[in-house]
Amino acid sequence: MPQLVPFFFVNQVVFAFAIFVMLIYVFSKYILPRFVRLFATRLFISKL
Amino acid sequence: MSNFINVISPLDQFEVRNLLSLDAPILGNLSLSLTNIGLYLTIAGYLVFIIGLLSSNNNKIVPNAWSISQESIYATVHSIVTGQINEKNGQVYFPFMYVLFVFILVNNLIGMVPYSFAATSHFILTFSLSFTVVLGATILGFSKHGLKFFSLFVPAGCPLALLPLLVMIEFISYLARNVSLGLRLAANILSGHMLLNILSGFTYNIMTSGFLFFFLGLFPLAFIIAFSGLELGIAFIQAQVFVVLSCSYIKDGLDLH
Repeated sequence: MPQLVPFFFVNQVVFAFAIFVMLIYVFSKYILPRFVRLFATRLFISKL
Repeated sequence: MSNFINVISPLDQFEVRNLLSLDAPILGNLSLSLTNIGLYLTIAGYLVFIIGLLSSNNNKIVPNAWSISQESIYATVHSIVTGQINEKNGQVYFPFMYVLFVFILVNNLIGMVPYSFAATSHFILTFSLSFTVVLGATILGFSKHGLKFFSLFVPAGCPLALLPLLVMIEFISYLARNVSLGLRLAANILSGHMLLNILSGFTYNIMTSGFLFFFLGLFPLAFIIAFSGLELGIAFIQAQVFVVLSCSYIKDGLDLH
């Protein structure tokens, strides 16, 4: 089982966390605020 | 007989293989390498990003099919976060929970593509995620409540005589969260893929044994298709369970029961 070799699991964890942190940054800065703006726009059009 | 000679272990699909490596004699013999799990994690990251970008639908107010799917994921995770953590203060954790959900979901679903690989079937990866979440929740609890955080281990209204025992049990259950959260995800994905692998190897051997056996093999083949559907459901359910439990652990750190 190569996944028990420290080199491989450190590699795995580094990859996972690097990608995870990048995704959190991109989503919280660019993609999720778009949804909030979209929902707010719909609310303003329909209710106010 | 040739079919029986090259039977490989059902665990073979989870092997980590080195695809590309660079031995750099700098920084203490740094070895940069791209393994298959790294490749699939990168693919998953790109997929999440591209789908998130494409489904924004050019900021149009009327949704299309892509943005409806993304909005329903948004609504699901949002209801989990507001329901589990807090209606108002819980929203701070929403981006983290959203990315956690989508990342686990896409990694689970990539595993459903034949000849590909589910990164979440590796215990190291899921354990690193679950230990991080629980450790983060613990740090959050300590920073918010100080030493009062330990009141988490004391159930409300318990008799004084039973207190040492109950605190011990609560402490062990708190530690077991780390393991159970990661174990649940990886074990489900791993067992599902192993089951499919074993069943399909078995069916292949039956179907190639003769003319009559080919039609006999259609019966286990139907099972395989049914199990694939089940695995698809498990991919969604496990991502949701991981996020729900992460939220409830963060809530424990914030509100102490």
